[in-house]
Amino acid sequence: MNLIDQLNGILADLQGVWAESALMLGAIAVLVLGLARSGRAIKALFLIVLIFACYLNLTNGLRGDILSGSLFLSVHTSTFGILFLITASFLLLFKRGDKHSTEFYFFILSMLTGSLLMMKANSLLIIYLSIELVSFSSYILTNFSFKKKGFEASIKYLLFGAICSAIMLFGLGIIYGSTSTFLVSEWNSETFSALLPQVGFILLLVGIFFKISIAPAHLWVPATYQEAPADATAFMSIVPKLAALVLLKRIFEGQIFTSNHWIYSLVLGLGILTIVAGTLGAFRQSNARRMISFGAIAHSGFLLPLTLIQSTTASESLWYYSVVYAIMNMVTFYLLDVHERNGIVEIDDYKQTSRSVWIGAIFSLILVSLVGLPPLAGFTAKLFLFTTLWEGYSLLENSQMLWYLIVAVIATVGSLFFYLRIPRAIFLSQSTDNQSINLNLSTKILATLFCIVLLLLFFAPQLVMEAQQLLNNVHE
Amino acid sequence: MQNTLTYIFLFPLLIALVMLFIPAERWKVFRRLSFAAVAIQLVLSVILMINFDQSLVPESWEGAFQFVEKANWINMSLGSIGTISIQYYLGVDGISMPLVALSSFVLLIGVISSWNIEEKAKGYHILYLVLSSSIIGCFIALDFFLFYLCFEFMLLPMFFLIGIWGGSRRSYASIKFFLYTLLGSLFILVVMIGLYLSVVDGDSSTFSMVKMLDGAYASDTVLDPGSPQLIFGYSARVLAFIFLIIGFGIKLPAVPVHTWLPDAHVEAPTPISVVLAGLLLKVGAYGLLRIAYGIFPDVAIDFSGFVAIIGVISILYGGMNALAQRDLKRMVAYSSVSHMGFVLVGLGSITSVGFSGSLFHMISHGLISPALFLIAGVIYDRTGNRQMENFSGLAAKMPVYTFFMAVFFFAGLGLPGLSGFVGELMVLMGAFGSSQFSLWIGILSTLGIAVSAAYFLWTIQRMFYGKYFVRESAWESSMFDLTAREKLMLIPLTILVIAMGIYPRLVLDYSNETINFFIQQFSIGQP
Repeated sequence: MNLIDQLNGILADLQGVWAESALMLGAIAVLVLGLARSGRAIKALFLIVLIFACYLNLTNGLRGDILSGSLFLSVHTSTFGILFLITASFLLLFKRGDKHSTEFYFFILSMLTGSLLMMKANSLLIIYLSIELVSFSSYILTNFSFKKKGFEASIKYLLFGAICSAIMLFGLGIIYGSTSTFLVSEWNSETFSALLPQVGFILLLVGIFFKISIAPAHLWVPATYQEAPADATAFMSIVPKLAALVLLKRIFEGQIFTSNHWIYSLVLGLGILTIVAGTLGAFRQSNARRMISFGAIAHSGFLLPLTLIQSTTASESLWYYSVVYAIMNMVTFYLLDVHERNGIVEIDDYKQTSRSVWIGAIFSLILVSLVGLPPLAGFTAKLFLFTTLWEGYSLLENSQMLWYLIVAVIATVGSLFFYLRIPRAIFLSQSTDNQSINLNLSTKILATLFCIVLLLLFFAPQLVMEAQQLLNNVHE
Repeated sequence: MQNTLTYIFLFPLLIALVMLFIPAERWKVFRRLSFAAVAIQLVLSVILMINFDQSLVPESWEGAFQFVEKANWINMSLGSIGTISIQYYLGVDGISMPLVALSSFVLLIGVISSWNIEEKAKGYHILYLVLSSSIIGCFIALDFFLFYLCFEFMLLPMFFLIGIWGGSRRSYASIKFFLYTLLGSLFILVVMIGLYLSVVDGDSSTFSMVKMLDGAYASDTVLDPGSPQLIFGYSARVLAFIFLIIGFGIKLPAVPVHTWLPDAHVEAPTPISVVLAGLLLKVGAYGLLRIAYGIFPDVAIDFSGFVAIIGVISILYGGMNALAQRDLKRMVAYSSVSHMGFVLVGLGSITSVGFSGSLFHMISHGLISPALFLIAGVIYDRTGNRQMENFSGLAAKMPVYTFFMAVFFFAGLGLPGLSGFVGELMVLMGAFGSSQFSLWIGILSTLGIAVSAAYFLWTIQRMFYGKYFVRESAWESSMFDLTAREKLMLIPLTILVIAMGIYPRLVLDYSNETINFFIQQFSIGQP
């Protein structure tokens, strides 16, 4: 192949990264605009960039390896890309003062770029760079409350992240050294047969697990989620996590390990540990947001096996669970934010809100969906998860799947106990100084709409699956 | 008759939706609407009962159900395991028909009993109607997914109904109730998924309970009886059956997982106790009968002795506990545990008469226990107290109250001529005639009746006989006899309890053919 052909190939492949390029350029445009204007103009530009990136993502028809194999595009990268962009647009619903809004949206856009690249990554270098891009934006956003505690959380997050990133880099070195390839797609069942590349692989997982918040790399989560601004938290708890999960799915799709390989067992074991750590950790919290963060850790554990099991059920379940998780987390942090603005931060503070029946009822339903009870979409997500595990057990004859199922079921009961603490505080306690909290109508309508969506997705889960088909086929 | 089941099922839900848009200040509207919704439910189920074909002899479970309604609900292609198909599938047979009628009747009593709830009436009645829908839904759903949806959806309204309108320890009681039952229902969920992956309708996996009952297993799936696959060294079917026993046993409740019940009952407001004892416990029993026994007859026959022993323990342990209580409502709650034990013994016997007895006892207890809670509520409404030692000689002061109390206490201890006797007698006949376990089960169960006689009679003696006395002089003025509303609730219950006691065919005619067919399932495949 001559140089011209190669260049033409690269030019054709560029279509696959147009969305990311648009986001990056958009981020710079936000910075530039921020010099002159603030507030609404920035938000409008942010929205325009997102819509444009959405359009580019939808019309991109490339699939498979592109750019000499450094990226890999699939159904998942395109549909999850749309999910992330829509999630980002919901950030505009949060109340955000004009101060530092330029920088805020800049970092959100760069985190978004990193996340999109992360799930498309096929080369070890891209994996590392995209994870770093996401991480650095997150470190800074954590401190966007500009308070001492936020700074502490940010530093803690930074130190933890730096260590994980160094370990991952070491792992990448070992993998490259022992397999002499950077490309995930060139891995096969032979690649990791020796101990050295296996060690490298584990070290690589450290970096990815840090982003998904799989135990024991979940320690940064509670402090960060508690202290970062609510909108940044909502974004961090959804997009980078799901992106890392898609990446993990991509890695395990290569059938590099059989289901009885020790690494496979180790990953499943860590998933179980994550569920346990998240659920047990949430029990003793007194701060509402901190409790929800532990719940989010447990949800990482629920999502993890969906990336390990290679079946259609698993990938469809991953998509459904991710969509529902994104909706639930977004609205939960939105409602937490609304309450925090009224000075309601601790779980006990919710006792004062018993007059706001409507928003209390909606909040309760959302939390019940996070537990996974019918008739809300959270239940269907859990149902798919349990079905996948059952099926995984009977297909792979791996009894660890059964243990996973058992732990997941018990953790669901446990999670009921802590998620219900907020409804209990709102409705079941007798508080003397009941006061109506200051909520405008749009908040109520918005929360109600989210809740209706969750109900709808329970009664018609096929909508989510059909949406996936639809999004994937727009370019034709 | 078309769609009548849907109307029964969804009408209260519709009214609940309407209520959302009525301003909360007009609290009297809500109770009227609730009453109307549940009354229409009752009328419709009576119409169904009249039109029910009692002589239908089923050939298969598919043919056993009447007034069937079927529509596709969720159809989703899921690749390797085919399509997920969830149906909106309703129908009643001889087992569920009487339970549907019982439900709508008890729910109506519950509404009348809630007549005076002023505080947050809007929320109360909305939750109550949601609860009504889901209880009925449990009895008529023929799709496991739909059943599970209704089964779970009883929890949330119940949690708030106990938690907001309950007594002083309501927060503790409601969360305990929720956690226990959720744990149970997740066991059921796991079995549901296993069944879904194993049972096929044509090519695709299905949640259809009818297919599960008829055993349409795909070969070599987890729960296929012929499958050699073991889980932790046990057959998957055995584990699934045990899971179901735990799941529904919590709801029933069976000893040792009954501990949520006394707390929930004591803290719940009277109407909610009525529904809880009258109906929610029956859902557990119905689930055991329909799902655990219906879908796993081959395992059930091996475990029937085990089930019966749990039943006997519940009868005796519940009875002994009732004997030790000094709170009237707690006593009644433990008597429920004891009575539900008879249902387990009847199921364990695997005889026609035992099964019929279980079902009859479910219906009869579904009438007696609401009445007992209403009776406990009468005292509590008047004085805010129900400790037995604080009252004595009530017979002289409140003769009408004493009359109704006597009827239901005697019905509870199994006096011939009242419905409790028939149920217990049939269960014991089943137990003594059963080849599944030794005579001891029957003998110990009989002893249970003696215990129940002891606690009921002792309560009568302590509270109603002797010299009139109440602890606080402030209560004196409120110790009037039953009001018209209270009579309105107790008279129909009395009539039904007597009618069923004298003429048990009222229920048994409905269930005979279904239960005969049910029992045949246990002989298939047996040597």
